[in-house]
Amino acid sequence: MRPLPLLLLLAACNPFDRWPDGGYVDLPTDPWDPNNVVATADGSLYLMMPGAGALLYINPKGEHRTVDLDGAKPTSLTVTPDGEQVLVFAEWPRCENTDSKIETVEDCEAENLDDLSWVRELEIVKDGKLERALPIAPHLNTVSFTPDGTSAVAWLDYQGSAVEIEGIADLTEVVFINLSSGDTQSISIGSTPNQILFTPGNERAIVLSRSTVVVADLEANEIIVEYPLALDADAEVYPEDAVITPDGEWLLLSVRDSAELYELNLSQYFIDIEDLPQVPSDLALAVDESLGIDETLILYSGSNSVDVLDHATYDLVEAIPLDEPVTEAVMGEGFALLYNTSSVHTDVYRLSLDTREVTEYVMENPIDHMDISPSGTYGVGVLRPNSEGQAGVEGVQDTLWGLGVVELLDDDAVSLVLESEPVGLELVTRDGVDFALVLMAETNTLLTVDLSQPSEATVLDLSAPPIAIGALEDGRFFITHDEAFGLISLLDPATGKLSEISGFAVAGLLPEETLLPRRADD
Amino acid sequence: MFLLLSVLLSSAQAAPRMERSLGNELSVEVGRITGADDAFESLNDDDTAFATRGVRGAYELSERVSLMGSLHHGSVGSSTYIGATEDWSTSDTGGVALYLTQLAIGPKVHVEPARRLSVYGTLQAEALYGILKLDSDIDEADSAVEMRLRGLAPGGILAGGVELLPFHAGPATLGAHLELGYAHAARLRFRDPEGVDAEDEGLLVGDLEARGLHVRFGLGARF
Repeated sequence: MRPLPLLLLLAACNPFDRWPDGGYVDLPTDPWDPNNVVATADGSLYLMMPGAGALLYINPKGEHRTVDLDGAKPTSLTVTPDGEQVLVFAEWPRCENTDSKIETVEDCEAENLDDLSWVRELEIVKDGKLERALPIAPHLNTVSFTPDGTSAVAWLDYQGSAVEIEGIADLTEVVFINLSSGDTQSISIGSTPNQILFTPGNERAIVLSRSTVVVADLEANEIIVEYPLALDADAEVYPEDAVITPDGEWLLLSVRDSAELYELNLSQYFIDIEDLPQVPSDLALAVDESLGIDETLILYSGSNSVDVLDHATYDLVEAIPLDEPVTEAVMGEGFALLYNTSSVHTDVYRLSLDTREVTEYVMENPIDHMDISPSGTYGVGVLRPNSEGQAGVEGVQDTLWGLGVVELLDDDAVSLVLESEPVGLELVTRDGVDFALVLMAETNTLLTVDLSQPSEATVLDLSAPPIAIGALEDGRFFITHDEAFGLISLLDPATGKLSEISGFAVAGLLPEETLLPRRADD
Repeated sequence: MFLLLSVLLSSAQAAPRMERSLGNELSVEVGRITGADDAFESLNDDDTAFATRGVRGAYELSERVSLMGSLHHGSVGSSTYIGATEDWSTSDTGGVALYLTQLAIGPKVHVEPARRLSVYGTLQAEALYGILKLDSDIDEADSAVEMRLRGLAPGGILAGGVELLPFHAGPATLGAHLELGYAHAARLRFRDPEGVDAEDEGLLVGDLEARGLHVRFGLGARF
């Protein structure tokens, strides 16, 4: 070739690897939601992709595919207690204008904004496929499941935000759903529900609402009994905390700003009221068949004691004194771990359920939350920074997030400091040794803390800062990351090995018009 | 460009009339590809069109007809703040870029209304080959996520142009050309082959339609 054409050819070359300088572009919709990833029993993962309006299914091999929701966009998802199914709140666009030229949401909006509406559905998804789509009122935003996962109740969990209404709505309705048949039954409770519990045999749902407790039969989908919590119709009684006794006979209920404990008999349909010394902060079932213990612990934020309510007599049988008040209880085998989440108390107590012996531990900082290791040997808590800083090293510790480790078989406790706020804490046992897996915000590390030697942590490098951690049925954990195009790490705690699934959140990255998936007469 | 064309036109008037045959051609060109949909706005913050560079060649078939082909390449992309947060300092900064290669071939018919001046029309078939690059952090050599997705789309170009050939350089004649027209290509679809959608196809990342004004300017030689 002659030199001139060759030079001209070389001059026209453009390197592929140079990043074009097109300025800065904002893609306002998150390609995926790393805070809302659920795992099913077979080790599959489901996540929402708001940008693409899709539900993504990642099978145990790491292969991913979108679930065909017939044009519906997921808005929230939750897994059933048995881990077999995923329930997805979704919505699909419906255009009232049936002109065949209108093919997209944008076409419909351009023609007449009022022609477009979004229809809500509750989708039941299994093995990456849509099993059933149930029409559901748009204001229903929460589902509660029976412990066996066969039935669910959809209801409005009002959190102060706007409630979506289409036409007319009964904000007090609950919808009972048979998850195997898909049958639904709507029941009006009379006032907005704030908590739903189920009896141990999965036969009844107990709906707590303002001034009322309703018991419904899950077989017949009908109300069995309604308990008024006040004799005066104008009086407003708000349920706070509730437990059902293991035999399913009684519902114990505390109410807001009241030192009365409501004892609702679920078979004879009557209410007893037990006077308490203080307004309770928490109720915790204390049950251990091997020790013959069947009680409820009643905790108070304003009293340095814990009351014990015996399930044989339904009377307060003992007040256990403590140095500080406690507001939370975590139950172990034969003991309770008690602590306070306020910013002024740092005590942790181990209460033996049979001997009533109390062991006190002191953390350096206030406690955010605590859990018990799988072997029951350690209590592990996330410690919050303390707003009332001290001088010296204590002052440094006060400003930092921390990890508290309590040796429950001994009197030892240690408060460690962390680089940043923990975003995930999981407790595992490996070869008979308890470990804590700690994820911290904005750091690319996973700490594996041997709870027998908590000061010596193993650091595992991550590819990106973590967002959340969750458990898989096979003992592994999945870690979601702050990575726009999608990154999930799978951790095998037995080997400490990490594998990654990445780049799955690119579907729909380039915006395009949304096709109308169904016509108005569908 | 107007100044350059004026100079070339002046040169063409002053030069002796050339023979009708233009011979074979090899030129370097700059051009413009026009994006026809909003998806291009994800690649560039203020324009849906972008520049290309390339080469053009023509093989003389007869006195007035040549077979012309061109190969162009252009890229468009941006730093991309991803996420619903309004605080850009906490948004993920990734990058999305399109590297587009355009191959076109077709007949070119020309006439010479004046000395050193040729006017031509051309109808070409084109093939667009695009690589969509996604990078979770364009400042990092080893990003957590780097992907290259490929798409291919056929199309056509209908264009007309003028050529000025004022200079002789040994056996070759040097000149310039300006070409305007309309290009229309099918949608470039970019799919993630690792994922599967409801139709058992690769997950659709997006599609882009290059359609609209076609512009080329080049300098080259006839020989």
